Amino acid sequence: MEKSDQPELTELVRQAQLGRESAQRDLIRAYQNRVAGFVYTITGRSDAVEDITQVVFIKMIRSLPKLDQIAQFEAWLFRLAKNTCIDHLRRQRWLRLFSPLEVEQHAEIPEAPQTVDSEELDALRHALSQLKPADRALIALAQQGYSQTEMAEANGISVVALKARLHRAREQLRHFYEHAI
Amino acid sequence: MNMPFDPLAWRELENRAAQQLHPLFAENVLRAARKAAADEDRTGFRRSFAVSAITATLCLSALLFVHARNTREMSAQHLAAWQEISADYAVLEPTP
Repeated sequence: MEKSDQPELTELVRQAQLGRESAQRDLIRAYQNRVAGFVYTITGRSDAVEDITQVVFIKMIRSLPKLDQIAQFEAWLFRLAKNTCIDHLRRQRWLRLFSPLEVEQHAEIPEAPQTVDSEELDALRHALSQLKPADRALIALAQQGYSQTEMAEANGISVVALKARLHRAREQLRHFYEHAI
Repeated sequence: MNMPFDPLAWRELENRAAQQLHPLFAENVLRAARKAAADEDRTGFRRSFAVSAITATLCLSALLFVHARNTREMSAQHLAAWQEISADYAVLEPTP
């Protein structure tokens, strides 16, 4: 959903808050691709994208009635997605601690007709995987076109702190990308 | 191309991730949400039932304990009274 569709989005969120399933379905459809992309950027796990995205939307449906500021819906949704991804990564780290010998296997996202060089995409994926999950989330939000104020709200930090973290994360991404390419 | 911040590359990543979603993803989410809510209701019912059962058991135990103690005390009092009466009777009874 584009930002210009704000009144439509507000109405959709309001209907979804009232428990209308058709509105909830439309809301999920409107955001599923962006949330899936966001989840993939943070976790780097293509085989977990669908499960984690599903958890994000289930949490969204259950917590939606508690959302006071409908205008903040997007920032709220992406904060929910970020927290879900970080919880997932934390759980995975604990699981690895208890079964360190288990080899981690996961299917990579299948190749599709591309508009971007595959090597460059691989380098981007590799560079992203070198960053901390919270920094990946910041860069993903910035790439989605969020303003620094919105990103600061979504992360619960000040705009000044956000600028500093975003600058550092971008520098690191550029550094890792240049080494990967 | 402004890699690694080229919007096209990021769109490509998003598209690839979106391909992982089932065509009926939204419907599946709604179904899973409904199931989770129903499970929670059931768990909530079980929890309240368990709390009620434990409370009832505790109350009944307390009631039985108090009742047993009172009965014991009353029996002791009655026994003492009877012993007193019996002693008085023994004093009053004419010796053959």
